[in-house]
Amino acid sequence: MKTILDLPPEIHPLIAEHLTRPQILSCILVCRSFHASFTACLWADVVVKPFIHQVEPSVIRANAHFDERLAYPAVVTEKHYTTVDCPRLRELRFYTYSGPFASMTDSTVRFDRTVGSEVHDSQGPINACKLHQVAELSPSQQKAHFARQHSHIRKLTFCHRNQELKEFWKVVGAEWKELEELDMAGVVDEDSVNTFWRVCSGYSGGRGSRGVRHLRFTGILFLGGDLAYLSTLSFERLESLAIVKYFWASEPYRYQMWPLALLERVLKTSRGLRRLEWHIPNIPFPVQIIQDALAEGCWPDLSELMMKDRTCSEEDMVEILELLSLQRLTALDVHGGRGSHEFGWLLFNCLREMQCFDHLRELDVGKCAGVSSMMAQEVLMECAHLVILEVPFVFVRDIVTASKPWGCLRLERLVVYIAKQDGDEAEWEERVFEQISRLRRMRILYLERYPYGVNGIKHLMTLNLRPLSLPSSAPIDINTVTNNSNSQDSDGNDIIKTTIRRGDGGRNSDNSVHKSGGIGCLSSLVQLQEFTFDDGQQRLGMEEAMWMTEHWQDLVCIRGTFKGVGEGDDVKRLKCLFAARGIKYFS
Amino acid sequence: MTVILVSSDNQDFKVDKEVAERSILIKNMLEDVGESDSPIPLPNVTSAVLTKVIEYCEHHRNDPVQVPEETDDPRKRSNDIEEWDMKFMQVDQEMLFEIILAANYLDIKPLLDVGCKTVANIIKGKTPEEIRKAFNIVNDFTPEEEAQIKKENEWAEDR
Repeated sequence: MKTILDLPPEIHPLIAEHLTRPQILSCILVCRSFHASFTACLWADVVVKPFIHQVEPSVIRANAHFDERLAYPAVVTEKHYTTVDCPRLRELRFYTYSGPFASMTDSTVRFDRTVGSEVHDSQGPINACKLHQVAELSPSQQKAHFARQHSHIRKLTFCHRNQELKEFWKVVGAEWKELEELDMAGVVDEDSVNTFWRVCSGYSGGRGSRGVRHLRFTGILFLGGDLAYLSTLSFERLESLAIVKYFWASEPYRYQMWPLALLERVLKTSRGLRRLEWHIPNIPFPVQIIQDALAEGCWPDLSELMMKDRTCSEEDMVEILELLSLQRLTALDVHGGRGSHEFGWLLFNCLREMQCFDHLRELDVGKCAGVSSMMAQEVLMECAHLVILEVPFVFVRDIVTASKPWGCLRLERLVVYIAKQDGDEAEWEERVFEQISRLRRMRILYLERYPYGVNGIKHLMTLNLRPLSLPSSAPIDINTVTNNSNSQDSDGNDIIKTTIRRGDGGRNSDNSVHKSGGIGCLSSLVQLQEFTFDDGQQRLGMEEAMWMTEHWQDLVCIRGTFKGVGEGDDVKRLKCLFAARGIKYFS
Repeated sequence: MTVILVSSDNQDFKVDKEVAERSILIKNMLEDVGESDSPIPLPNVTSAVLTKVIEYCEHHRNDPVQVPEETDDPRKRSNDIEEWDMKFMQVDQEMLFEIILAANYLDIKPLLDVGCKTVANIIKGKTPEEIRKAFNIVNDFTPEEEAQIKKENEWAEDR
């Protein structure tokens, strides 16, 4: 009789690929055989956390031969850098912790006057620590040492506030010949600027260097530097460039126009650029320069254009798209922000005429007031390759009276407000749920809480998630949950975990569509990780919460208030339920 | 054109070449021997399992050769199972593991993948004890070992 223990060890990584980290951890704790094979899967991708559950350097050392990706928080120092040696390391991430313990770094913060005070976005990755608070971080020599030890790294994500990294960047530039991808959020000192740019161009690696292919700046500050130097560099291998909300110093200085200088340089030296992301509120997108360059045949492979808060007009944008028309546009993001909100008909027509619907993979026209429900519906029907879609809204009526069902079955992320109108027929809502239930690859479903661009929105209703028709199986024992809800320690959680589950966990058994509408229809979205719902009109309760934790096993995050849950103990129970499953709940 | 596959219990299966070639192992064997009518022995696969495997290959005979997923992150790969495949995989555990072993041996990547996804779906949402129960596994750790492993890996508790 064959059992799971008969599977050869090479199969286990293939299973682990479909599991989250805590799920792999559960496997490791099953038995010795599982431990032996799943440990490698877990330790291939290590996140060292600050403060709680921090991994000791000695433990990392013991498992170092498995490590392919490693993430270090800002607060670890010394032995993590000086005694750890991972021969297979390919991805390194320095990150700034942004969780509830971030304030604990207060005792080690120092005030940095050189950093500008005007910040335009509160969601940037390094904003978690206030901009003017710079945590005392590991000495730069330790990082340089670590860099020297791990010269085979291909991807570096740098999200640290520390400075004086000249030595580190020097080592990276000189010895990391395989570096292909750099994602940077942080501060670059005046005396490291040139070294840093050499790393970005991949030039300083000299012979044998492959050159950097992906550059992403997500909140970067240069403390001075020489623009003339930048204009001597070549970015030959570059395939994607993203400049997102870099920090803008309140006092103007010449170097703050570096994005334009960089873009110009990339235009001159990189032929193979495929993706351009420009999300800088302060510097308008240089429409004319780009149009001229494209007209001359620059960037023949450009197919992904991301321009959130776009700073050019719809006409200009359409003109740029038309210059791309011989290529295949696969991603477009013109999510509205400040400034022009009028994007809509012109752009939509252009996409349709260029036959982009056949190959678009990403489309974000969120907060574009000109995008109508019919347009959104057409995209949902026609774009079979879409993976990411954000549209302002779509009417239930347009969905159910359309000539065919949604064709976007590969969607993994959908942001939309689904609006009911007076005169809608009763069973229409159900049919919309059916459409959503077919999007089985969905990971992030954001049923907007605030409809955008609809006139008279106050009178509109959205889908009612509430008529939950539970599949037939044992009833939920809510009392058991109540009894255990006060203990938040790991044992208590275990009890909750086991008592709230029904049957075999509800998998597979109830994939049939429930004809009553409500979230009960959405059990087929087995990969859902994030769910956001409109709580203005919903009164979801404990039962729906349990249903979600049970059917959406990969769920990490829920946004929206469960208004059907009473106050006091009930709220506690709800929070406990989510905490036990490791789900973040934002009410 | 058809080929004859012989299971470990000596049963002959006559299948279209196109169907048999869903297995890279068989495809390579056929390429090596060239035009030949001689049956292909599959000493690692029983007739019960081979029947299932052939059923799968018949259904997927016209699928395009699998393109690697475009995403870099293996965790982001789809665990979505097509409806037909899901029904196909509704078998007892012994058969499930037999199918995985056969798919691995015969080198039928999509079938191996569906098998592994099915196993992953059984594991999801379960505690170690529940996993043991689900697969009939005995806990062979000492309490000390278990505590030690928990401690070394507790960083992995959050997603």
